[in-house]
Amino acid sequence: MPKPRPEYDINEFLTACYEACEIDLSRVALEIWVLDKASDHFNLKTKRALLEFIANGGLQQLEFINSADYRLSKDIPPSKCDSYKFISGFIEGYLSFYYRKVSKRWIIKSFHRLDDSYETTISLAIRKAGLSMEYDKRTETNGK
Amino acid sequence: MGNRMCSYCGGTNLVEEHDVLKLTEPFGGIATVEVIKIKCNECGFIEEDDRNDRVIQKELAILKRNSMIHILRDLNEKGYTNAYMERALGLPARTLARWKNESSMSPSASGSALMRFIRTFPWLLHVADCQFDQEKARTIFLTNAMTESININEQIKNWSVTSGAFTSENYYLFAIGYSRDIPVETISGCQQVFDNINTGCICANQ
Repeated sequence: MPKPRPEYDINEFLTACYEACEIDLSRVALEIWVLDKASDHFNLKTKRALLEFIANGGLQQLEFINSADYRLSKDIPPSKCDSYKFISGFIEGYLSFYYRKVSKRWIIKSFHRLDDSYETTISLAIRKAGLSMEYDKRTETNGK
Repeated sequence: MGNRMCSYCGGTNLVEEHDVLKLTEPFGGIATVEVIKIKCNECGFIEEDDRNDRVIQKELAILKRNSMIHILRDLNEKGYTNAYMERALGLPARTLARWKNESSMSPSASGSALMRFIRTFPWLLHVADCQFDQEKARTIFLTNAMTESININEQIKNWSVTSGAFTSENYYLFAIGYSRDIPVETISGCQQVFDNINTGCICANQ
């Protein structure tokens, strides 16, 4: 199996977060469930606080997990979504995001404490092979 | 909706939806604020509205002030006066009173963080009083850890505490004993301590 590669340059995403804080907050958008989790898990209660955390080196030991089709995407082919795990103090976190050319905006899809529900390369392969009905049901219910 | 566009499809047919967000601050209680979600009528994508930040920050400022008031009230009730805390922590006189009483003066973020630590572990004031001497701080910490361990269980709150540490070539055994009436003969012999008192112990490889 070839080593998974990110769809996007992470530095471009980090720069966009920085520019969003400095110039225009709308350059990076948040899916509606992101801020709830960021607040509960990381005490980041506003969009600006979240983007400033990301832009100021808050994501330590950033490690790429995979690049997967965004299941809620309405496009054909669907948008690719890059996922990373990171460390912040005593917490291991999970971040996923994608870029929309049509609006020229980055969209943060997930930002939460890392648990076993994230999609690894292996679980992605299992799902694509149609071997994990339960996995599909669970992710569709959660919607993220 | 002005010149705004959907972050997903770039569409401009957007509508506002209202939602309620729950906010909490340690020692400050809970509040709810009404926030706006932007929904695109073209693709159905829903995103956070950037104006929510201001509403959230305003409510958080109120919660943070409440948090400081509750913290100082609790500490004062436990016998820690503002003057004592200001002296131990090296704060200018009347700083805490102003944080507590003057509605126009909000505590700084660092001030709030400091007082939350003090509220959680008031013995940190003792550490500060000792000029943060490392050895004294360790003794204060261990003494308070022992005392705190009794408070975990209401039933043994008034029992006395004994502790001991035993070393061998491969092990370090740390024992905490809680006793009611039975006198502890010795704390140098591990077996005797275990026989005479109810014991909780932590055993770790060296």
